[in-house]
Amino acid sequence: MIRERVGQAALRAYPPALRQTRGPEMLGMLLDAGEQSSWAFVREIGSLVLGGLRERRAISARAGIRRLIADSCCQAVPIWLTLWMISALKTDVIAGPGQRLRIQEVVLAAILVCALIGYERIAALSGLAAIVAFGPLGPHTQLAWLVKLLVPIACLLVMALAPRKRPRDARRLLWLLPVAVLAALAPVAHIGLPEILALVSIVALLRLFDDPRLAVACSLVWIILLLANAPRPAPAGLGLLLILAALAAGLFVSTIAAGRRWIMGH
Amino acid sequence: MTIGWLSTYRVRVELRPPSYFALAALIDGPLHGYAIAQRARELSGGRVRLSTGTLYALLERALSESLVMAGKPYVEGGRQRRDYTLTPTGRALLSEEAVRLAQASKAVSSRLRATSEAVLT
Repeated sequence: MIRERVGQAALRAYPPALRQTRGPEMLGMLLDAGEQSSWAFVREIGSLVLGGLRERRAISARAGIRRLIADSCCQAVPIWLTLWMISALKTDVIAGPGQRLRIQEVVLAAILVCALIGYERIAALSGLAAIVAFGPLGPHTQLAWLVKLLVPIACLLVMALAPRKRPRDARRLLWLLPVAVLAALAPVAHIGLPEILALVSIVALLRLFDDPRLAVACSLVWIILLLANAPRPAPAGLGLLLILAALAAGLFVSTIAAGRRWIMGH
Repeated sequence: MTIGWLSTYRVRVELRPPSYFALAALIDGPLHGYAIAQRARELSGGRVRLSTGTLYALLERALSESLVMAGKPYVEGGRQRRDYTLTPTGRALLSEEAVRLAQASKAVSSRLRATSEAVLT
């Protein structure tokens, strides 16, 4: 019974679709093969987890570089908006409960909700409209501001042109819970946006083996933060360099290795 | 990623030992996953040991290239099974590979014989 549970947990390394079709028979084989000895079972579990991660990596590689980059831009938008929301909420918490939310924050929250549920094209177009309406864009806009907005605008454009094809799911709004907690904790624990983004980046680095998209998204948000804090870019700059280096290696290894594995698989 | 020349290239790529013996295990008839692993081990003289992760990765690719066919799932001894059958395409690929390996082996053996005779004389 314990072995069956361990096996089921190991099977979670596989993409859900494959787990659904082959999971029960794989579990059957795992239990058969593991009957010889405990060591054989441990070896089988290791192989299963590795196999699952490889399958995920192959799926990422099969999506193609263009789709991977488009997905990363689509992921970068909610991360960036979330950080913006945390920053806004943090300011409000510091200012006290009497502080009223500004219209920009309400609009940003609505865009974030749309993006999280899966209405990505609507979120992207609204985001672009919000930048035009609330941003510094105008005939006298300074070049520095344009540079700062370049990455967000590019990400929103990509999101509008090539949104991800994923089912709409309101349960993704649960991601806002940790955001609210972080926003509440931020002034007390002196957590800044780079620290929060660093946490997400660590998760992204751990996932580089099977999916480089979150790492690319994080690196895009690091660039946004770096440009936003242009006069003092030290911590963000270091993080950016690290993420970009890992990202480049991960993206290359993941895509080429999985693609090669698919081609040379026999 | 689908790239034209790569798919052409794939046709000419030889089977690696795990895939070769996994497919060879199905020559005599349909088998389920664990039975394939055991048969592959027998056929390879114990050299190829297919773990669950490796075997199902091979089966997934073989299925996508129509080298094998998956049967309907059934329960045996309290465990879910599914039998896999070698398709004519899979049999043809296996046959080509067997001929290629035999030719390669023959070529190397004859050269070894010839050179060892030369060394002895």
